Amino acid sequence: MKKGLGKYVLIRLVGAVPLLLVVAVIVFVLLQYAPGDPAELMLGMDATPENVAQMRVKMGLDKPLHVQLLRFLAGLLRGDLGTSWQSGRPVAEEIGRTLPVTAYVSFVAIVISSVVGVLVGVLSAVRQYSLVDNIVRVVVLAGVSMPVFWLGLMLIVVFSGFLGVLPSSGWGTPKHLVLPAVTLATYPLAMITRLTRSSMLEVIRQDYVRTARAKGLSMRAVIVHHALQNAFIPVVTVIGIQFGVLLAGAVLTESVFAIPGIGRLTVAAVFARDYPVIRASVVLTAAIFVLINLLVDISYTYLDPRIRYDN
Amino acid sequence: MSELPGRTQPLLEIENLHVEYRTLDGIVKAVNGLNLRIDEGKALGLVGETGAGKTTTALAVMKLVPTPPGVITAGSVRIAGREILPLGDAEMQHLRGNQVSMIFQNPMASLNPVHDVGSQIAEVIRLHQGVSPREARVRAAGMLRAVGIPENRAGDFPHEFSGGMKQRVMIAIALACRPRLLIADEPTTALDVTIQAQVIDLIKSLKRDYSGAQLLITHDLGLVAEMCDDVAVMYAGRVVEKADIAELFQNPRHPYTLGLFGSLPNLKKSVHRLRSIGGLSPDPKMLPRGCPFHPRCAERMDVCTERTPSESVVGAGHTVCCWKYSESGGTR
Ligand SMILES: Nc1ncnc2c1ncn2[C@@H]1O[C@H](COP(=O)(O)OP(=O)(O)OP(=O)(O)O)[C@@H](O)[C@H]1O
Ligand SMILES: [Mg+2]
Repeated sequence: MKKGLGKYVLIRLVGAVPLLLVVAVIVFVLLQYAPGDPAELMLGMDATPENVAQMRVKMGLDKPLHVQLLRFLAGLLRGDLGTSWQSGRPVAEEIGRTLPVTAYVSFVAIVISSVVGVLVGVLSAVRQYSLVDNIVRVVVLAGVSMPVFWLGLMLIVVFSGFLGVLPSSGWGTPKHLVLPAVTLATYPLAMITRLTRSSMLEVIRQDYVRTARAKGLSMRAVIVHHALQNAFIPVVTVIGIQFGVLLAGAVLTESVFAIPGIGRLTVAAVFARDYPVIRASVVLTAAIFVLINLLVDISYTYLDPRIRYDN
Repeated sequence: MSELPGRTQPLLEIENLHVEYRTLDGIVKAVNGLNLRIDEGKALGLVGETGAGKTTTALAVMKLVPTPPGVITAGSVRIAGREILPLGDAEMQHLRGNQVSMIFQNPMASLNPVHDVGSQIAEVIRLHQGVSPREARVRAAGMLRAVGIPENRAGDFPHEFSGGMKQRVMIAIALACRPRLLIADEPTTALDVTIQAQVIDLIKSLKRDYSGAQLLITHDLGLVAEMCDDVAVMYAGRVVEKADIAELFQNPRHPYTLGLFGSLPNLKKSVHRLRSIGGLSPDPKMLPRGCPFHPRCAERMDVCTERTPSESVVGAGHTVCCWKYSESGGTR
């Protein structure tokens, strides 16, 4: 590990706590403006006012707002996310059930899109304006502009409908992973390819690449040993952001493929005004972005010696 | 020119070299029929205004003209008697960094920011000398010492060095395999004056130990006087006059050279820069008909606007491209 990195990580993590509390306050306040009374929604149309009042007490909604907020924040600090109003189970348990599913698909998707995206981006840059490059650019454009749910549906039509080789929905076997992972990988793949290409084009114009050529290195060796690492530096940021977006829960994709992930959990919670689950998943998303940003910054110290955190 | 007995062999011979950049705004004729020759063990200074095609000429010798847009359209480049323009990639890679090395104009950006300097020197040694990585690092450290940088800085990265030190590292890379020809493209212009002197002294001292022949590209006549045996003056992609330095400084002939030197060129006078002369250098996308210098020339004759002069010999090893000195007197 690099010098001073441990201390830096610690400072960043401690510094994230106030940020997450601010996020928690904001989501709490915003939910107050959501239309509909959660207690009424929970009980259905024919609940009596007495039932509703009882329910409000049970949910803690009878307390003044600031008390509710402080309870929520105190719970967060203790690591207690509360109880889902809808299922009656601890929120932590709900998240523990759904997050691994989302994390698994997202991880597979980001690995596919990073590996393929960097390879294709480099190839496209090295052969700028060739047939390969032109095809790549068209496909990338399609990839960034295609609606994800539509792509998911098309994949289902082709691979489950016509070919019948892959299941159209559900979760459990490796086969269930393929279509959702491909669907989720498409947008990040297009972004990573595009950025790698432009970053590589920029790097191969640099003087140090000419120096490397003047040493007698082949173009391939120059790309691998000199250009790649430099070109990769901006790409890491985008990989991080895209991974964060995937982890936050791909609502549409999870719905199309009926995957029990955190995206679906959150959407169901929104419809049911299940505030504890909504709040927890928003704060969790913020925490995920904080962590990913930190990982990106740490990886910079390995990619770019000009960046150091030991002072 | 016939080979005199005892005269050394030419290490670099360029004949009728043409290089152009095919850009969207037109064809830039950067080098137009250039002739040049450097003998074994000699240093030649290539001087000329900005845009004259000096860097392009050097890149053509390395076969590193950026393509696209650059194309070497005609000519011959021989290194130690071997024609290099038809050579393939693999053969050129064997020559580069090994037989011919180049120090570039901008030392600030010429080193890879993500690798330490020791490994950037070791890389060229491993590539051409087939030694183990360990041995290459040892030799790289030796090269660092040779250019006046403590060995223990081999693990440092380029951003931890000053501009002058980066240029020293570039020199170490260029000389690591003891090339027969070293090309230095304005090796000191990006550096401040005190550092310039140090780098010049370094190149001079290393010339004895390391390099056979040198092609030194510069704007600085003082530098040429100090470091070179011969001078070639370049204008609009051609060499318009060349001679050994004593001859050229005492006896400049081409109107352009005369303009550059001012009225009384003096070898003893310390550093003097090229004088700027009236008028602009021609646009390489639209070179004038005839002698490219004629629009700025005070001694212009009718023939100058019509036909391009060829080389005339005006003294021992002294040639000029100017109708004034043409034997046929421009009437051919
Ligand atoms: N990559 C390129 N694309 C298009 N034109 C170029 C390119 N490189 C150089 N040129 C043009 O070719 C001509 C010769 O350039 P070159 O760099 O060889 O000049 P130079 O004598 O080295 O000048 P300087 O003293 O400024 O370094 C100039 O007109 C320049 O604008
Ligand atoms: Mg130049």
